[in-house]
Amino acid sequence: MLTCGQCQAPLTGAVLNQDGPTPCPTCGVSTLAHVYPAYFRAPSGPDLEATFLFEDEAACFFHPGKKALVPCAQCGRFLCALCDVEMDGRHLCPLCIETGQRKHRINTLENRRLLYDRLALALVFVPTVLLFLFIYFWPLTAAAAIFVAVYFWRAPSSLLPRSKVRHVLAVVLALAQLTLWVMMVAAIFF
Amino acid sequence: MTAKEGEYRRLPGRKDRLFTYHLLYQGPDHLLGVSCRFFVETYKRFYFKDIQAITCRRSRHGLVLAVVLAVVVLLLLLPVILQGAEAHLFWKVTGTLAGMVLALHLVRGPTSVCHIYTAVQTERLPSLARFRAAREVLARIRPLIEEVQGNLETVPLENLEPARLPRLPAGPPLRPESGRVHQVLFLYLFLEVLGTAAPFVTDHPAASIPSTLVSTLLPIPIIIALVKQYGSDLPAGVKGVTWGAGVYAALNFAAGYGLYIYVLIGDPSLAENQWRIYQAIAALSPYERPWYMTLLLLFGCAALFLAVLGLALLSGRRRATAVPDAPLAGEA
Repeated sequence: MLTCGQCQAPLTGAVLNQDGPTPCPTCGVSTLAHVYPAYFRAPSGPDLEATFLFEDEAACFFHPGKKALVPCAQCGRFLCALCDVEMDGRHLCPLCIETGQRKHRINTLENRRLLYDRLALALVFVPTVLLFLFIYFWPLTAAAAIFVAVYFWRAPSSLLPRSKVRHVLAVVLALAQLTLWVMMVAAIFF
Repeated sequence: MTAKEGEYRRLPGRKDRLFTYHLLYQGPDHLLGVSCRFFVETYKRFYFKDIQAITCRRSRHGLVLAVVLAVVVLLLLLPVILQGAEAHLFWKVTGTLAGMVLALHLVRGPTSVCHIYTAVQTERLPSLARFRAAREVLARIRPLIEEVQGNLETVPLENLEPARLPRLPAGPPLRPESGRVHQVLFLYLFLEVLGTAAPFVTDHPAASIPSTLVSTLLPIPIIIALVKQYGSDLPAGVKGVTWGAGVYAALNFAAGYGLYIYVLIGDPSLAENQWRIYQAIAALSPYERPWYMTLLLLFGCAALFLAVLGLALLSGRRRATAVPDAPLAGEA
């Protein structure tokens, strides 16, 4: 059952699915809780009876002893109930799923991305903020920022739509940092 | 491959920390939780057809933060209150900035903790850290979930069976911990308070040595307490205060080093003699230097706050776990 996050007491019907927050009947903390019909839905599994293979039926590519139910939408291999993975309205086999994840072709399987634009900006900002520790390394960090911003310009960034403005900003700020560093060195030595 | 424009809509709520942020997006058939730490974004998807329940409750975090900010604002504005227009610009600027932070915190409303339940997981939604945003998100996604699962009003609320919700795997048993080490640490912090108060009372160098010694040795009980509390059954509040004491010790060390450098910059010849450095530090008067007074007041109040809060949480825990006296013979 659902419990209050503060006092762990069960939440009753008086608290659930209300339009506004209501106090927990035990500790009084203001709570908003929605329970949806999926809570009561029995879990559905593969139809095991459909796996029995008869002589005149097609067999699964990965399990020759099991009946094929659907073809893979990507490679066309026949799949049984156990091998079939329904994703985004398509039926895929395990190999195509693994390939899709490895080559970043299936968005729904991606669960992490490296943000190169954020990395490039950090290479510029962090040495600037920690001025007295990193001022001697400004040429290196600025060059690294420009390299990251340019080399990974076309690399997939965030899963969400994201403009290239951070790449451009990193390059501009890195160039400005380099210019400032050169001017400071010139002022000291010349 | 990046999602198409318009495929995801940003939902209200955002949680920011020093190098991390948390967001929540609404997709065509799922919710997308986005967390970014340093340069890596991670994603969690919750499909509308799989969401069993979402709960949100108000948390005390907002109230504690408001109290702390209010104390800081009060300390920074105290000279302005006492001296009026003659107060140094430093107090006016810092007090105003701190006041703006407090006002922004109050305007954003109470804080909240939200969880989402599916058949196989219970996940926290860190972006819904404000109750107002959480209410708005629940109102927005309710029709989307109803479109897939059916009307909420058909849910038989009187029939919530415990077996339906996923059971989280039991973690390793917590080690019982008496909390004595933590009690010593919190009492030690009172010495730290005295150390920060010493410059207000005397400028004799003898006063700076004990306070320096207390500050230098502070990490020892902190480290012991952190080791003792790991995997123990101490309340989360006590553990948090211990970590707070660790942060305090680090900032204290940095401030002390800054003071040391400040004195050396004023007279580099002091570097030859440690005793002369102590004399110079002790000779600094907080009444003549607003920044020094602020530093001492902030650190003193922080140490006092940690000490009092830690002892209060420990004593509350002792009361809660106290075994009631056995009934006397003859009593019912």
